[in-house]
Amino acid sequence: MEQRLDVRALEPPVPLERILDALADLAKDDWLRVQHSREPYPLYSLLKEMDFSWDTYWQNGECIIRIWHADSSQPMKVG
Amino acid sequence: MLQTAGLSLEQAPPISIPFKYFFTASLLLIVASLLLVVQGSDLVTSRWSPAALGLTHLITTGFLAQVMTGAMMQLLPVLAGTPVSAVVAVNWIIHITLLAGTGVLVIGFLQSQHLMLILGAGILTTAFIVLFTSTGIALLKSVRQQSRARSLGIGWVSIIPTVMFGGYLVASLSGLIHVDDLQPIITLHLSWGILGWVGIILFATIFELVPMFYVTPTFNKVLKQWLLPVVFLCLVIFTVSNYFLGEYLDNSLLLIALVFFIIGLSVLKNIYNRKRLIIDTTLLYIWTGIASLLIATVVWLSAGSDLLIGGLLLGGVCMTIPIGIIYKVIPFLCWFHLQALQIKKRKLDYSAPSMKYFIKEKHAKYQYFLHLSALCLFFGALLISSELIILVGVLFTCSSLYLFKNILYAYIAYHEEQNILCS
Repeated sequence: MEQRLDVRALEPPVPLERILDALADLAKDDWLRVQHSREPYPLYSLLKEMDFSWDTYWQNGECIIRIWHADSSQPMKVG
Repeated sequence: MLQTAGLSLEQAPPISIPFKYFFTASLLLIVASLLLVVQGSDLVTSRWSPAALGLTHLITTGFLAQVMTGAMMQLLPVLAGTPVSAVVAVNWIIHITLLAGTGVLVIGFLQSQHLMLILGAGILTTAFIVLFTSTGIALLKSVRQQSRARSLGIGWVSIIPTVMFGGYLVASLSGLIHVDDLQPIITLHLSWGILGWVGIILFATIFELVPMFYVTPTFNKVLKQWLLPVVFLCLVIFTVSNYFLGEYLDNSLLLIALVFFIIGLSVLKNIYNRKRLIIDTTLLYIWTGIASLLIATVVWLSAGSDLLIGGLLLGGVCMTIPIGIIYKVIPFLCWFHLQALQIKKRKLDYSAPSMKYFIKEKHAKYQYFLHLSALCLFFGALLISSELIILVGVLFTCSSLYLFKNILYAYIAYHEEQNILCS
């Protein structure tokens, strides 16, 4: 199931904090869809360390990052 | 387009790298301020006195180059997702050569020693070649972000003519070559250095940092992507105008002044439209820097005092905006590195302090008021009475010492937290 998080209006480091908080509660087969105003490169290093996988795409000028547990399958539908 | 690339924690630059640059920058600012105390009267009488040349290079190739290199090493992974390869070794070389080159060059100016000037220019050239090559390779790797990094890139390209004309001047001053009229070369060196290298890099950095840290709208695409390249193009035209078609092309410098005026106003408008209307001290530094830029362009366009324009650009812009950048970047890096360490160590019971813990707002503000007082008095010394310059030097020394103390506090606070995490 998709969990949604919008961090576009938050100043650093709050977006990163919110994402990490949300991931702490992410159920095994769920994924987190984050709406961000920019591509959060520093987040990726943390995700790798925490055994999460992710993909990133741009939609209407927003960066969308989908994050799921590395041992779960990638969510099928983009958007 | 789907994309899953990213940095590993091992690839991210260690926090010691920006700290090293920022510590050195604040120490060079202390030296520059003490130079004002000791040789201040020479500084306000002529732009070309040995003390004025020494001070200018302490601030530009010293303080500013250290801050911007430290910030750049962190910005590349954050904005473009690519760190500089062999980041520790490369930064060791850049840091040492930037520091040594500036030191030797400044001694060369102060003591009018030609050999020191040649040596200093040579060491600085080495620093810039390593910096230019390493960051250039990193930018080229980040194909997707090349348009964003274009302005930063052309800012660093501007260092090439700056160094070339600087080297030409040093060779001429040292008697290695004979030049009938040095003035055009001095103007070209100064224009490429202050307007090209400093101006383009500073504002390319602001274009990236302001929307990110202050949650403002992104800058207008035309403004962000094309105005700084226009500055670069105008500098090329201005350089050509020194040799060909001078009567038609030498107004290109005025166009640059106009472009920077537009950029300054746009930054102010962008910050005004930020989502969270909190005013922190870093904003005060940026506002003061932009205000100085706007006043400098007005004085320039109205053919005002060269010394005042230099003071506004050097003190008001080059010494002010970078301090705001330091106060914004250091707390974020401390917080991020602790967060990364926490995840690596799997210490779930640890909670990293907030960014404000590393540089306390009241201490940043005290330093700002010291800095502002020094700046106002500096402009007073340039306009009214040169006798004020020693007091200006004393105030800048206090302000720089405060900056050093604030960086040191952040460094100690970071290591205390790191020890807690590693215990």
